[in-house]
Amino acid sequence: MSKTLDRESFRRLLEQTCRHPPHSLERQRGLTQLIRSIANSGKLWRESTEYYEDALQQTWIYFCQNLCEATTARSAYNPELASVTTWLNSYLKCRLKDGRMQTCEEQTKRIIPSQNQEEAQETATNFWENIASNPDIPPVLEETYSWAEQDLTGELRKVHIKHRPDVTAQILILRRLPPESSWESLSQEFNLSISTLSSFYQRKCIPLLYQFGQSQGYVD
Amino acid sequence: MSIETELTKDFSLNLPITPAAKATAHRFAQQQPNPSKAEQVYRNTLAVLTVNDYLSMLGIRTDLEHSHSWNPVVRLAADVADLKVPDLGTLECRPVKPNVPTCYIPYEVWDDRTGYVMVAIADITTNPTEATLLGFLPAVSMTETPIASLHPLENLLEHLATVGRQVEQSTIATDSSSRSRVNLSEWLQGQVTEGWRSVQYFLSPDSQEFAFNFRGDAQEQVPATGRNHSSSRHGKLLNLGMKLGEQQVVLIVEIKATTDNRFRVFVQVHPASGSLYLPTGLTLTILDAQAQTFLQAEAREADNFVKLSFRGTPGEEFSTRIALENTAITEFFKI
Repeated sequence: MSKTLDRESFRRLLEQTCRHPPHSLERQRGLTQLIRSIANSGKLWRESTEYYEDALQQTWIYFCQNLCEATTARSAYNPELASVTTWLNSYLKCRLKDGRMQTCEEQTKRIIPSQNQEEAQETATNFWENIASNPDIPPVLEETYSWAEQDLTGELRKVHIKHRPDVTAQILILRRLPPESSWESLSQEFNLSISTLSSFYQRKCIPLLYQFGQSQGYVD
Repeated sequence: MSIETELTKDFSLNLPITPAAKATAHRFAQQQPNPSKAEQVYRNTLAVLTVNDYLSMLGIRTDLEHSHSWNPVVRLAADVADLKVPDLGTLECRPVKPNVPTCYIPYEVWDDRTGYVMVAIADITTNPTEATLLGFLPAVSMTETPIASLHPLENLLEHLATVGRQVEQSTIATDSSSRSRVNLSEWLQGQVTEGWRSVQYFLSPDSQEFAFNFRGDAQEQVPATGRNHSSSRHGKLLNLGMKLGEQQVVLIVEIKATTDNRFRVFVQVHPASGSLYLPTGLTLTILDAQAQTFLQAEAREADNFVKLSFRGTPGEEFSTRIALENTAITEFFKI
């Protein structure tokens, strides 16, 4: 199977894909292969503008929805009128035009600083240091720590590894909140296999953490 | 050639990383107490969003909001990059740097996952604009999982389709006791179940394709009313597929009394009027009361209909399941 399909294979794949109902496994598989082939063909319009990725994402959605049937477009793709890449590029350029107009209207602040002289000096560590919560412990972490430590309902102490009432959800949660102890060191400390500990953590502790997060109504 | 291009060029798929995705990843990263957690959460978030975009494009519903990776407390307490797929389980979406031979899978995500999707994302400080879905694994058993062991992305789709069928199957088995069933004996007394109509109703004016080849039964169209007939036949229109591009078929069931208080049941599936052939790959399955398959037929290319028949006793329960790709409709009956 080559990265990019030749014209004939592409056409056949397209026909085959559309023979299957939307959202069927074969349709999904076909769309995946077609997207891969188109993306690797190098024939899709590219530009390095801020809004390119948004436009491209919208184009793939448009592709999936309108290749075989007209779901959001006025008509589905018609192979007699144009090649698939021409059809997609025309849509992509429309979306890029929208992006350009929008950028004129708003001053979109870039999250990632562009590569200029001073910023190029920035090391990777500085980059992440600047993003991570600064300078205090994030409030969510502090509250989670309190919740685990206080364990007002006693629930976190009640849940423990089978036959090991000393290894409770409370203890593991407190040890795995940052700065976390490694599984290797916990395994040595409690004399339990990593898989026993991590399995317990995943199945019993994470749901408790999840529920706590939901109950606090933390909104992102 | 780099390791990645050797092994994954035919399997992988590049998708754009949008500014919105970066903004979300950034927001989540800012909540982290140290640089290494910040990078971990940022990359995990982008991986989840890329897989989410891919599935959504193909019409697979996801539930980002209820994924653990979307919960601020869990993000702090674990290295989790899960994506909930309603009814099908949870996928783990692991970020990996391009051109490295293994993908790190933390211990705390080894269980309870329908599968793992690896997503190559370059170092964030280089401002990557695209992510590559490298491949899929149904399960992991190593913290450093070799990229070479990944299956093609298409296997993810197949896996989800298979899981979907299994879920449906077990749902049927548990529901069958409470389900209301079409009572075929009542048909013989002239009572017809709602939704079922006489076969004439489905014949289009020029449908010669509606030739019923029931064994030994050249005759009878059953009158609409009447009592104690020896056979009765009705049909129901079914819609396969979702939203647009639905395939319509007609399920026709006939019950015929044979000697010694037994019955013969005939089940046929025809294309709805306007089509000559059934969709290729359509299957008709007869299941017993325990939802076990005991008869099955599949439509080949250019089949006008499929049919099955079997004998049964009064009170016996069965169901018919018509499936096409990963859509299925099940009807429940009692003789």
